[in-house]
Amino acid sequence: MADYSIWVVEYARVVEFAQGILKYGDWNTGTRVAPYCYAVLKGEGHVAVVDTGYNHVELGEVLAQSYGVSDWQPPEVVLKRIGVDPAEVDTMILTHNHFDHAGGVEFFPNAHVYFQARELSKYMWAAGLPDRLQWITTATDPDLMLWLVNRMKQGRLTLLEEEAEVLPGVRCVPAHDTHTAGSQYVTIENERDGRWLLAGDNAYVYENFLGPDGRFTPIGLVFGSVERCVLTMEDMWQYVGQDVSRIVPFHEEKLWERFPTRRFDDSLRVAELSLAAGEQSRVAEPAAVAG
Amino acid sequence: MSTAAADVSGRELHDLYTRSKALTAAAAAALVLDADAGDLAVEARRLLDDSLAARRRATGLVPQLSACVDAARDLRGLLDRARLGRASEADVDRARASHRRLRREVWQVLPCEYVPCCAAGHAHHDR
Repeated sequence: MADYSIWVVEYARVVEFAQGILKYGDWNTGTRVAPYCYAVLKGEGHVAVVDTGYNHVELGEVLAQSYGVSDWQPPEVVLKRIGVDPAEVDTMILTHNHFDHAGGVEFFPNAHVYFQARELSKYMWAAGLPDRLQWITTATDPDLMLWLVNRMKQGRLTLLEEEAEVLPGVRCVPAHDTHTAGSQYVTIENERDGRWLLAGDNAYVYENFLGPDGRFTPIGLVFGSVERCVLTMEDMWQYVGQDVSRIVPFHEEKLWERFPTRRFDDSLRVAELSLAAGEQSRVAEPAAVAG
Repeated sequence: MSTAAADVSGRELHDLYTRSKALTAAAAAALVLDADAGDLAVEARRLLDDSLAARRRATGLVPQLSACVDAARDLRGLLDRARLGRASEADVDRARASHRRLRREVWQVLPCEYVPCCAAGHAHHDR
């Protein structure tokens, strides 16, 4: 069994995110804050990121103006808060190919990438469809896919087709035909504090699992099958022993209430989910300097 | 530039961009998956021809249509070299750079398609 520190770092946010996207059926119920986050694992001699954020220089101005993405910071800033240099990251797991998860890949020059083969092959199929069907590829970024070509040429890309352990105790689990065609989520088995699950966009918020009637309510933005989404949520739920606090949705504002969190001067936050033996806390406020 | 001419070019630009984006994604996927990209190379040549024709006829949107031409040309070059087993990282980087430039130029005049409509608060008349 392994021992990882786990942090969720906020790199941007959407202040007015439609609730109907976050939770199926919440139409016409207004908006809420949706953080944009990725996760960092450190342990067993590795530093890994699960998702990467996006490149504001390439995409940010348009997104900021059109959709209200604000407060973006690059990995060199947000990772410094947990004592990590992006160049130290040796492992990158991409949950799916949407700009806000896979758009920051080139900030991590030394990472070996793990990605679902289906997330590529399905878009190769979709590209051959007529224009009227191209909604399927709405948020897909061809730029990332070209970047992957060179990573493959460099021998630093592993395409997955089934569940796989990519680091000791860290597994990529396919969630095909859910939020996207080739989505995956990530599980971590920590000897010290048990199981964690990084959901990608297979859940946006805790409420997806915690309906008032005890029923799951899937996310509202599904490029695959809603049925597959619900059944994947059940797999996730069972993996964590029905303890929702062990599931980490990357767009959940309540993360900051549930875990020790530090808010930085730029208003972005870091949540510390788990701290490996010997690792110092990165969310404790610095001690005041004696005058 | 008349309104009618601008409308026609805008529609053509949308179509060319959509084709370029889909073809770029498909080409990249084919290269990673080591799949046959012969049909994609043919389509890239067709896209280049159509982009050149649109730029010749255009009375507006010249930067955007020029970016379409460059993106199609670089993608065609990548696919042609890949078919010969000679695609280099520089070829890929060139195709990436021209795709990025095309995206930037298109988003100057057309709505960004990355986020579904109404995923965040906005006014439709602004889009």
